[in-house]
Amino acid sequence: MMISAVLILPAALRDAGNQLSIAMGRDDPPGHTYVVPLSADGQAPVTHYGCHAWVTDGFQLMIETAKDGTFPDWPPEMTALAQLVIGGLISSFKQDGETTPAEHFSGVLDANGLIQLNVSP
Amino acid sequence: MSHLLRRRIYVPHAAIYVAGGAPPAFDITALSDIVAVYDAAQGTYVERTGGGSTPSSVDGVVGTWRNLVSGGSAYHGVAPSDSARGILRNGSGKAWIEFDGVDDRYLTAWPEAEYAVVAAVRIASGQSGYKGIMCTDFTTNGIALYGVLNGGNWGVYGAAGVGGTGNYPANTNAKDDADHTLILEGLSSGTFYFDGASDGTFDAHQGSAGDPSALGSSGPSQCCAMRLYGFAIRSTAWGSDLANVHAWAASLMP
Repeated sequence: MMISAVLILPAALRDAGNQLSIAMGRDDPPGHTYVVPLSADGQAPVTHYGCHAWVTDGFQLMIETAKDGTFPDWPPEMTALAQLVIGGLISSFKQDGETTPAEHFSGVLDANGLIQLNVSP
Repeated sequence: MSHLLRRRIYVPHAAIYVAGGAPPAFDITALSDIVAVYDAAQGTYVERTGGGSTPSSVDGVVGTWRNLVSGGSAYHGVAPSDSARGILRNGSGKAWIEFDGVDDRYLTAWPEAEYAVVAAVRIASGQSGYKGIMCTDFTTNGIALYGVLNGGNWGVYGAAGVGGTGNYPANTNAKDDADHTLILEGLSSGTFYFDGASDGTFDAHQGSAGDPSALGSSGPSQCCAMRLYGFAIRSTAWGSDLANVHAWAASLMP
């Protein structure tokens, strides 16, 4: 069963987060993972970027153990990038069916005082 | 023998129908000027490659949603990242891709142009702002279909240079967690059809400036929370095929 994941990074770590996703084979250059603009009042400037993903329990375990300081056996440059990203990462995981992805995402935003910017055409 | 064979070959379809046979089945992928057809019941793959070798399983991710039009491989929908992948669902004998309404979308290579559009869709309630079902890139032309316009109803958005500026809403608020067919009939102007009935008109529309053509959004942060059962675009109006196109879309839903 897939797991609903919400991942949010400060805007300053967006590029690093996208680079890590690319290094993990989960994204392609120039990076499309952290794309949802967020701020405290839903207005510019953007302070954070978020995403929602369907992940495996192995991915969830990797994130949770990394937050405890244990990283996969990656090359040193990749581990350094992961340490930078994990230091600012907001993450939340729920089982498929526990809630809708949109409700999961908005719940994490509420808990962290963030609002999605309404982008006009 | 050759005489009998010749007779069987040259009997026109119309004659068979008049004699009581079934009319030829409608095949949307065989329409003239059809550009792309997507059906969640077929052509979904895990990989984000445009091809793929691993069919998506129910409740599993979809990285590629293939265009079913023969020779239209350039228009396969490909998620730009793992986080942009929707999930394949199934119920009541029908299949759909569930778009999360956060960042799920499939990039395509549809040319920037005006299209007649049909979607079989269930739009989630509780959404606000602009939530797109599809868009083409936009410089001077193009189209984006919104499941939710800022204001609530479904419709399109126009721009200066293509006839007008602002929302062109259909008459109906479609974000009601129920299955519907949405049709844009006409190219630079035309009629909205909601569940097969006229639902207002539009006389301008645009695509998404600076963003690639995509299915599931009208931009990277304008993603619609929805079930999408199927979708198709054509470079001419549906015209006399309109009723059949509606019936095709309706047949994809429970």
